[in-house]
Amino acid sequence: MEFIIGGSYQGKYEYALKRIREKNQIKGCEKKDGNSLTVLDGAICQDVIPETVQIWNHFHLYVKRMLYHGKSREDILEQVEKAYKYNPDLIIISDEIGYGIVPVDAEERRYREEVGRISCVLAQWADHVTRVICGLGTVIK
Amino acid sequence: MVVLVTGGSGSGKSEYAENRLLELRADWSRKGIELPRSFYIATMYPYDEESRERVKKHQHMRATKQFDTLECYTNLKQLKLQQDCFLLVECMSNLIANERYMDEGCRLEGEAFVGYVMEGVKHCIPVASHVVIVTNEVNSDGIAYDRETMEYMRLIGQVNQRLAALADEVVEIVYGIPVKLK
Repeated sequence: MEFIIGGSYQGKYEYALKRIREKNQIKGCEKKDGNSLTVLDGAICQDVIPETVQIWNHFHLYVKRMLYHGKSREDILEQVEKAYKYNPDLIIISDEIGYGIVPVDAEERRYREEVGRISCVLAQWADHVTRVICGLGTVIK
Repeated sequence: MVVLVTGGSGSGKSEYAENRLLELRADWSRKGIELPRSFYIATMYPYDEESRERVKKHQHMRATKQFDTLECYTNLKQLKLQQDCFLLVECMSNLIANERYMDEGCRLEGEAFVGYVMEGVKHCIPVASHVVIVTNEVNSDGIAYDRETMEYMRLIGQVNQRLAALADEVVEIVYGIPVKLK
């Protein structure tokens, strides 16, 4: 599993597509673009994640919605574990959201804390963690 | 050579950018060629006391560094620059805000807006021998702002990606420490 993180609007998704293109070239398979991939948008996807997912975008928004639906950290991690065990090449993309003032609102505070803690686990599970700034990736693991 | 300097607020981007330009100038001097002029393109419109203070702080920092300051709040294309000059542009997030919200700004949207801003930058690059561009990281606090602010952030993100793609060197400043990204 690859974990791609960074602030919003940094070109993380484009970076993930580039990674897949590179990987496929190495393997000698045909090139793939975004249209032929199973991409999941964390902002709108269902709570239960299909195992066929290849790119899981906006993961932080999935966490936000799951918390809103009363789900726990463990429930969320269970979905991730299931998906990446089925597809070891899974790419998860998530915004870094913990660089501001800790919010006064309890819900917002919990959202940042949970995205942080869950991301720590994902970073452990991931083969590579890449941080994208201005479209440039730095592999930090 | 095009250098892009990014980082959070108060990270020391300006100081690093100025010093980087001075380094490039020193390299040039060592070659024994006559040194061209250095221009500082100030994009921040001083609209209140706090921003005027900020301008003063930056002017003070540049006092001994022999920059000619050119104020340019919108449309970098209007700049009349000396051939081979050294250029420091500070900073893109202000320029983008001005283009979007000042009366004389750019009224285009989305991709066309990004293209317009990039044209301004590309107008300067071939004229200058070295360009250092300062931009800003504003996208990591996790706040879902109103639609317009999110669009402003998205535009900064898009411009930053384009700038990084054409730059020879990209550096993120973390509390004064330069982290080389490209």
